Amino acid sequence: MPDATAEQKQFKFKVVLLGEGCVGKSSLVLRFVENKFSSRHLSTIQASFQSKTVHIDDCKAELHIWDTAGQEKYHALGPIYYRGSNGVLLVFDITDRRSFEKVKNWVLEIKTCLGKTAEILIVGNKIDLEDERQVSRQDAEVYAETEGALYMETSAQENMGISDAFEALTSKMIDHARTNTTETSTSNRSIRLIDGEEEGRRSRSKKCCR
Amino acid sequence: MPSRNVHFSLSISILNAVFFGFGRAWLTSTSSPTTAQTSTESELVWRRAKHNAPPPSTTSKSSAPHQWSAVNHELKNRQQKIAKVLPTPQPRGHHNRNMSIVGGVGPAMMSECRRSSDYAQLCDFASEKHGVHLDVHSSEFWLKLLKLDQKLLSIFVEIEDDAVSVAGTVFNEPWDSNVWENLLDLAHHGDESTMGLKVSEPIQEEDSDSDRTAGGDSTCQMDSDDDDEDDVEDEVIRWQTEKMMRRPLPSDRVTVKGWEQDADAGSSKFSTLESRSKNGSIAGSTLRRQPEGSFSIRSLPRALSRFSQSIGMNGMSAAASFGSIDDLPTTLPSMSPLLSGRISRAQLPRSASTDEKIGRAVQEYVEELAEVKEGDNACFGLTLRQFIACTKDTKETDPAVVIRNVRQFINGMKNYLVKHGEGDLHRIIDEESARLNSNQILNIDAVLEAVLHKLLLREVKPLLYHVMIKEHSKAGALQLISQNQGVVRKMNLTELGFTNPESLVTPAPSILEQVKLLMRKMQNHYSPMKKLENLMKAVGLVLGCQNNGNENENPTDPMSCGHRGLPPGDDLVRWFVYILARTSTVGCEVEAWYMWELLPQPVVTQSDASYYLTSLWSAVHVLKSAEAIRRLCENDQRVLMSLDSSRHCCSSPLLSTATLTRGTSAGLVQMISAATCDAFVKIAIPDEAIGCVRYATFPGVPMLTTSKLSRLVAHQQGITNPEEHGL
Repeated sequence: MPDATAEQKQFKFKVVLLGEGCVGKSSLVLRFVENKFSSRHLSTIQASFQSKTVHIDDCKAELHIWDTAGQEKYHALGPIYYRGSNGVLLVFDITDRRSFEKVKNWVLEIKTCLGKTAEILIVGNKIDLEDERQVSRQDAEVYAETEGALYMETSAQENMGISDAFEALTSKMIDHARTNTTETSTSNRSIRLIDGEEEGRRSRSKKCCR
Repeated sequence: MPSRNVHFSLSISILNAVFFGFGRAWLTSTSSPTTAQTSTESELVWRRAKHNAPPPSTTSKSSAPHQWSAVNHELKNRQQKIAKVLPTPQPRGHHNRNMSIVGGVGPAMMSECRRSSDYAQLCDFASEKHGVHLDVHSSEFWLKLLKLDQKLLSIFVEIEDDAVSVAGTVFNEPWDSNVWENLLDLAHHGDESTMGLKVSEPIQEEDSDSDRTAGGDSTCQMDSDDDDEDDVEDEVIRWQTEKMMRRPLPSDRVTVKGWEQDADAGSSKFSTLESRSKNGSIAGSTLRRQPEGSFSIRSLPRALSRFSQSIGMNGMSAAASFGSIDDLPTTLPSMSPLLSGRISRAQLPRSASTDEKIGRAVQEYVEELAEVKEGDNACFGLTLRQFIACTKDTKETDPAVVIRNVRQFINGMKNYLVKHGEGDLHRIIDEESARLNSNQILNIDAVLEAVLHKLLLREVKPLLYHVMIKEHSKAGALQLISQNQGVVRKMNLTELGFTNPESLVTPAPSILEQVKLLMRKMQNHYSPMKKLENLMKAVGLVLGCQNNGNENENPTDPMSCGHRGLPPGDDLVRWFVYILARTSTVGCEVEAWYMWELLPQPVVTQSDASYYLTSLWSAVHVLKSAEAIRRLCENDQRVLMSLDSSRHCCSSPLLSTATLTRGTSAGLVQMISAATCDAFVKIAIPDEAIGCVRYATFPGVPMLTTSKLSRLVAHQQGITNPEEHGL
C-alpha cells in the first residue's frame, strides 16, 4: 500500500452510518449507491454493507459504507462497524427532535472511541418534509461546528444533497489521509481506544484541524 | 448410470430468450375472449425452440470481481460462451460429517432424508461411508456445450423490481402460545410442533446436509424423496434443458405443453442454426431419458415465453424435429438463479459446485471466518455474532422490521465478503476460480448466500417464527386459517371451483402423504431456498398427477390447461388452497412470509418462483376469509367470464381498480381487471401475433402492485419486454 502522500490519488475509506431508526440511513445509502428510493422498505435490496467509488477532482476514493440497523438493540453493533472508520455519517430526521438528540450521543461515543481519526458528517435527512421540521438548520449547524463536524441536509426521497454529502465527507477524508502520511489504512483494522486528542492526532492523523 | 445427479448450469430460458420480438403481447382489455381463443387454438402449432441457455455468469459480473476468474473474463470478451456442464455425482446416502443428522436413520431413511442434500453439496463427498453410489464420483464429464450470451443476460439483470412487503402489523397483546398449540392439534399435524414455533425449541432440519450446499445447487437439485432416484440426474438435465428450450416462436406461438418430459438439449436462444441443431442432437442423445412415474419439481410447468427468433424458420424446423419433446417444468431452475441474484445464474452455481471442492473451499473458509473472534480477520465473525445476539435480543415486535434487518444484513455481508473481503477469502476465491474449467463459473454470490443462510438464518429462524406467530395469533389469523382449512378439507375439487373439474384427478392418498411430508420439510427448514424447493415439489406432485390424467389430451388445445407453461393463476391458487388444507399447513402464512422476505431479490421477482409464491400468498389470503373461500368456490365459468366492470371486487387494497386503471390511462398497459374474487386478477392479453385476445388469470395478493403484476403477467405469458407494457 502506498504511503499516503499529497500525491495520492487512490483511497479506500470506511464509512459508517449511525443514527436512530427510521431516520433514513438505509434510504440514504440506497439512493447514493443505487439511486433508488422506495417509501416502503426494500429489504431485499438494502444491504448493511455497500461500496461505491467516488471521484473527487482527480482522486478516486472507494467508500466502504456500513449501514447499521436503527433499532436500539443493534447499537451494540456500532463499535464493530465504526472501528477503523475514516468517516462517520450521523443521520437524523429533521422532523424528529429526538433523533437529533441521539446524534449528540453518537458524537460523544465516536469521539471517545475513535478520537479524531474519523471525520464526522452530520446529516439532517427528510428535508422534503420541510413543513414538519422540528430541528432548525441553524441549530444543527451550530452544533456541528462545535464538534468540528460537517453538517448537511438531504432528502433521500427527492434525491437532494446526497451525493454532495458523501462527496463532502470524502473530500475531508482525503484531506485527512493526506495530512496523515505516517498512517496506513491497515491500521484501520484494529480497535484503538484513544483518550487524548493529542494521542489521537499523532497516531492517526492530523485530520480535522484543517 | 454414471452419475446420479447431474447438475446443470443452464440458465433460465427467459433470460436467454431473444428479447427483440415481434411477438409482443399487449395487455389490453377485451370483452369477448371466447371466440378469439377458439380461433387461436386452431392455429396453434407446437413448436419448440430449444435453448440451451447458458447461464451467464451474472454472478461473476456483479458480485465477483473479474479478476477472480480469468476464465470468466475471457468468456466475457466473447459473446458466446461455451459452457460445460458437469454432472455432479452425488452419493446417495452420504453422510455429512459436519452436520448432525437426525438420529437413527437407517440407510433407507438416510437416502430419503438426505436426498436433497445429495444434490447439495460440496462437502458431502468427504465421507463416503454412506455413499452407496460411489461409482458416481468418478463421473465428471462434460455433458453439454452451452452457449452463453452475456449481453442478453445483462438485459435482464437491469430489470428492477419493487419489493413486495408483506408485513405484519403491530400487535400489542402478548402471545398466547396455547392458541397456537391448540391450532396445531386441530390440524392434526403432529409435526408442526417442530416447526420452530417455539423459540426455545431447536429446529430439526431434515436435510441439514444440504446446508453445505453451495448456493444455487439447492434450488436446482430437488431432492426427491420419491421414487425417482435413479432418474434424478436425467430429470434434472432434462428439466433444465427443456426450460431453456421452450420458447415458442411468436408466429407459432403455442402454449407450450408443460407436462411433457422429453428432454433434449436445445441449443441456445441466440444460436445460429447450426449450433442449434448440433446441440439438439447432442443433447438428445445424452440427456434424454425419462423416468417414469417419477415426479419432481421439474414437472412443474414453467413459464413459456414467446419471443421472436431472428432465425425463425430455422428455429421452427429445429423445434419441429423435437416437437415431441415437451416442456418441462422449469420452475426450479428458474428459481435457482435466485441465489445468484441474477437471473440466469441459476445453474451456474451448480456447475461450479459440481466440482465438490470448488464451492466448498469458499464455504468452509467463510465458516471459519465466522468463528474468528479477534484479530484482523474478526470483522465478519464479530459482526455476525453480534448481529445474531442483537437480533435475538431485540424487543421489536414488528416481524417486518425484524426480518428486514436480517435480509439487509445478509445482503450487506455478501457485499462485504465480496467487495472488501476478509482474511484469505479473496485468495481462496481466486484459487477456486483458477481451478475451474474454462467454461465453469464460480457463483460466489450463491455460495455466500447459502453459507449465510446456514450461519445466520439457522440461528434466527426460531425468533422470526416467534415474532410472526405472535403477531398472527394476535389477530386470530391462525385460528381462522385452521378453521377454514377444515372447511376446505371437506370439499372436493368440483366444489373448489376448478375450471375443469371433470378433467382433474384427485391426488391419491399416497401422493398426499408425500405432499404432506414435503410441506413438513418445508416448514422445518431454515433455508428459504429449501422451503421453496419443497413447496415446489409438493405442488409439482399434485400437478404432476393431473398431468398423467391429461396426458393424452390434445396438445393443440392449450386452453385445456390454460396457457401451458405456467398454470393459470386461478387454478393454481385453488391447488394451493387444496394442498394447504389437506396438509393442514396452518403456518402457511408464516412460510410464505418467510420465503418472500428472505429469498434473494431476483428469486422473488424474476423467476417462476415468484409466480408460485404469489399464488401461495393468494391461497393464504383466501384461507383467511370464509367469504373469499365462498367466492373462490363459486368461481365457475359464468362468474369468470363476467367482465362487468362492476365486478371489480378486488379486496386487495393495493390491487384496486384504481391501480389497474392507472395503467389504462397511461396507455401502456391496458388491463381490465375483473377480479372474480379476492384472489385473482383476470387480464386480457391481446396477442398481436395471432390476432386474438387471450385471458389469463393471475393470483392477486395484498400489496401486489401494478408493476409487480405486469411482471407476473409477462413472466407467465413469456413476454420478454414487460417494461414496454408496464406503467
